[in-house]
Amino acid sequence: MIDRWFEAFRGDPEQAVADLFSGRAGVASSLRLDVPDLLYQAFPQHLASERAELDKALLSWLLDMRGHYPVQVKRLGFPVYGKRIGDALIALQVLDLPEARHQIRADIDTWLRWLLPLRLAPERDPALECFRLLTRGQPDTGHTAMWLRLATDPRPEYLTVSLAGLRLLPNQHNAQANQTLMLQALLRHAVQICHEVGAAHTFFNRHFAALRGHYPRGPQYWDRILTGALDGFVVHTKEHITREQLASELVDVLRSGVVTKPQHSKRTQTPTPAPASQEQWAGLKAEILNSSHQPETLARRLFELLEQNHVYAEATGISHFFVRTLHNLGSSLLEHHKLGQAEMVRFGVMIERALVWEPANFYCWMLWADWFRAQGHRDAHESTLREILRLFPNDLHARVELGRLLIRRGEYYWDEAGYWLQQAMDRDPGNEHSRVAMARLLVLRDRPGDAKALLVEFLEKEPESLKAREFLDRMRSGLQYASDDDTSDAGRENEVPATTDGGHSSVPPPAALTELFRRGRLGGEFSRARIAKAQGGVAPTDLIREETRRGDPLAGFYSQWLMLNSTPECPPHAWAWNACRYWQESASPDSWKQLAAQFPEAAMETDFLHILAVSHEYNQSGVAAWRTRYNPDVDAASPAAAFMGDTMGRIAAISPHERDEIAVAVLACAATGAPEFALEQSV
Amino acid sequence: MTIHKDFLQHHSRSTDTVVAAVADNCRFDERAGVARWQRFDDLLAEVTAGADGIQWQDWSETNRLHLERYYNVSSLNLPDAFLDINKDAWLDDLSDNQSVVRIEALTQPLQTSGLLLEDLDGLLQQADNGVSDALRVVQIFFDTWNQRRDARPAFVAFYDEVKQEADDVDWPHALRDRLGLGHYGLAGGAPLAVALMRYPLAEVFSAHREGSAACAMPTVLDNGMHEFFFPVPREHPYGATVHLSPDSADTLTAELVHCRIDYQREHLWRLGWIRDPRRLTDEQLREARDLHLITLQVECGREHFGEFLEGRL
Repeated sequence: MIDRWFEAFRGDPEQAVADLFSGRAGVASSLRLDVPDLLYQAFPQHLASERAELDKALLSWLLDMRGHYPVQVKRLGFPVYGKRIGDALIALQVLDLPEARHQIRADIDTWLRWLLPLRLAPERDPALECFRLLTRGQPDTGHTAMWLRLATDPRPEYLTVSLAGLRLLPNQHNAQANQTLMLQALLRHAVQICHEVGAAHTFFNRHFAALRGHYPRGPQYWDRILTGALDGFVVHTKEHITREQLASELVDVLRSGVVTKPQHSKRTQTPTPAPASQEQWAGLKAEILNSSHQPETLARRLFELLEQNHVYAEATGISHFFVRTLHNLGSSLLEHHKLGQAEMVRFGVMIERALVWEPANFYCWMLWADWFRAQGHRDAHESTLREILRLFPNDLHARVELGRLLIRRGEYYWDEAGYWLQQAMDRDPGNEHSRVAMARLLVLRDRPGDAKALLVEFLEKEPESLKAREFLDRMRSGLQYASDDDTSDAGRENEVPATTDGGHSSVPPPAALTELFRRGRLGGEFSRARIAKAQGGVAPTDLIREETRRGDPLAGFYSQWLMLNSTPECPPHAWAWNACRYWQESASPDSWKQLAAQFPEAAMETDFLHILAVSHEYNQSGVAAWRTRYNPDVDAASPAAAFMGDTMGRIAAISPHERDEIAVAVLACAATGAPEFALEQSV
Repeated sequence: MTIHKDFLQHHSRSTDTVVAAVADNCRFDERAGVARWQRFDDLLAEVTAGADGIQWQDWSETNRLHLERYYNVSSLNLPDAFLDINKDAWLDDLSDNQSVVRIEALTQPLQTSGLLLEDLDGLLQQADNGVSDALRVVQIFFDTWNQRRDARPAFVAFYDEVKQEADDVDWPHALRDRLGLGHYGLAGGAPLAVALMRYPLAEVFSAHREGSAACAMPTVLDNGMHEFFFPVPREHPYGATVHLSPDSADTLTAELVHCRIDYQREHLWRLGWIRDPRRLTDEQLREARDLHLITLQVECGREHFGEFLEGRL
């Protein structure tokens, strides 16, 4: 029977592959195998041209399944659909087929967005199979950050893939770099999953021993690798590890076990890259602020430091120096100097690199927003601000920025501008920027009296607010009170850059930028629809509907929130979409527990929503338990954790309306991660 | 078997021996109950399109879909074989001190762990000699393997019954043939790294979930729609493998399916390669299945069970 199928494959590979997955290829002993095992046997290495055809046919089949998502899901159901997708990805792994892998790597964010919600179980996780596929044939070290990030996922199978990815990084015959990174991954995972140092130590030692078993070397060699990994981990810990105390204790315990002193034998030691020195950093900082050097010269020097720090990050997993240098010196450079186009393009690449390493770094996101604004990319600027608001629900600055931008976009956007500005005013009553922007909006809406009243009231409380005073004075003297920067551009076409090079090229925008725009449009639709609904009206939700039909987890959550009864069944692993249903149905405590177990990576958010849902029956011990378990008050807590922690502090006083606002923020934040960048170098 | 008798009767006359064999398996099975077949039939109705009635491809597509929904289930679920719906085929009275064996393909576990079969072999030896780092590698190999295994039923045979093949130097091929594993080894195909697993049934009983069965008799709906499966008469206590060697087709070897267990070091007995295919001509396959059927009839005292392929066309 397999011979007959192979004959069919030679005639029409795509149809044959489709028949194999659907089962229409027949019933026979050889076909009782899972597809990957069957293909592995049927396409040995020497069948090079057939394997190339299979490579193309599998990719084509995957794209077809993605393109026909709604139909296929309806016909097969999520479990079967997900299994077949996973099998195709496993087949690409076991046969080591390069072309499809290359295509997937180049567009990883789009693939993951489709695959992540399809997870059913540890062994039925198409996104994990996709990651596993990318561990093989890595062209460079561009995925280092991604592998280290996977290690912080509490699920053991994610650690497995993280370690495989780091093990298979190209290393120019220097396996030490890989081993150091693998130990970094183990340390990060250990403090993520363990609550006390004994357990973390046991976990680490078990895996460390396995690593030594894989790479038999003398104890001095491993002591040196461990010492290097611990040094890096200490730097990483302060910025990124919530359980800093545990991390510190673990480092101490492990250091005490290093029996040999690090040796500096030229024969055995490969030089480790170092980050730029503090002196270099401080010198450049001073020159950016004070010198009359050409911007190009300053930019060139900054890029040199960044490149050095990036090499260090890729070798050690420590992104601290690269990212801090970028957002600190980079922000200053952007603020104080006007860079040429070539420098701006390179600057943009650096920001994207930084977001690869630290996708939840607020300063990098703000730098990106500033960069888009400086480039005149208004759509991208708006989308970035919306994504900042989704990822960092506590942030006020982006609310004001977005409010200002929406004012400029014209009357259609003014309700939403008012919505964001009002939120900023409510959350920080002493902030003058939100008041002034709101006053401008009121003036534009022919409500100068309200604008004056707003500022007068504000100035009574904050008499030193210069901008508010200046604006009020101008209003009173009848001068133009909306600056050029803030006048409406209604009716003007807003530019959508084709690339990050300033829109001068016809090259399509990179996948991450496309995704940023998509999220921006979705977020805009959602906000406007909510505002319209609250006012008893309706706003278009075409994109949300379309993307929901394709199983997009963010759009699905938006749809579920807005259109309770007309949203399709959610995929098995779309947390926010699922949790939104629980929220709307006032789910029982057992149901919330079940949800937390189903999504261990979102247990903090699930438990938070459960407490928030019953906040009218304030439960002090529940709040305390949540705080103890998730530790949201430390510096390294994620933005979402910090937001939830703040909310918990005043949960008994939250109104039903605000409760909904908070739930939306938490759900949207965890609906999907930051975009997964596929930088050119890693394609 | 209660559905689509005419359709199956028609295909049991196919000149394609594999098609005829599969149709026979469906016709002869006495263990898969009405409810299980109803599930199959519901899926068939979804798959079958147009006014031409059921085509063989529809049947084959339905089989795949049925297996994916109810047999190859995720580790969070249980396959039909161990649920109430299959109670008629449950095996409740097995002694837990019997050892069972099965062959596992290692392609994916090895690749996931970044090991070659030879590496694993060496690490197992070191681990068994007390090398602690090797022991950790081996433990993590099993952890990783278990992470990727779903909850499909595991086919096993009793070790004492297949001891000769299991102990053979060339056990991969000897056991493959005895257990009717015709899907392992394709002509001109890639060699397959395999492991021989051996463990007591007690491990299975301790792993199974309450309210479900630990062991069951394999039916045609448990991945039995292929030429090397043959359903047994109701009187037969276990399934019976079809020997891949035509000369030995009168050797009935007991087989059963059991629920998922987590593999551990002590379960992995031997490592090897399957390099040679076992191909049967149509004529050999017909003869082998007929010889297998005669033996079943005799063993069970059911001379009218099934139907011979010989003389059918």
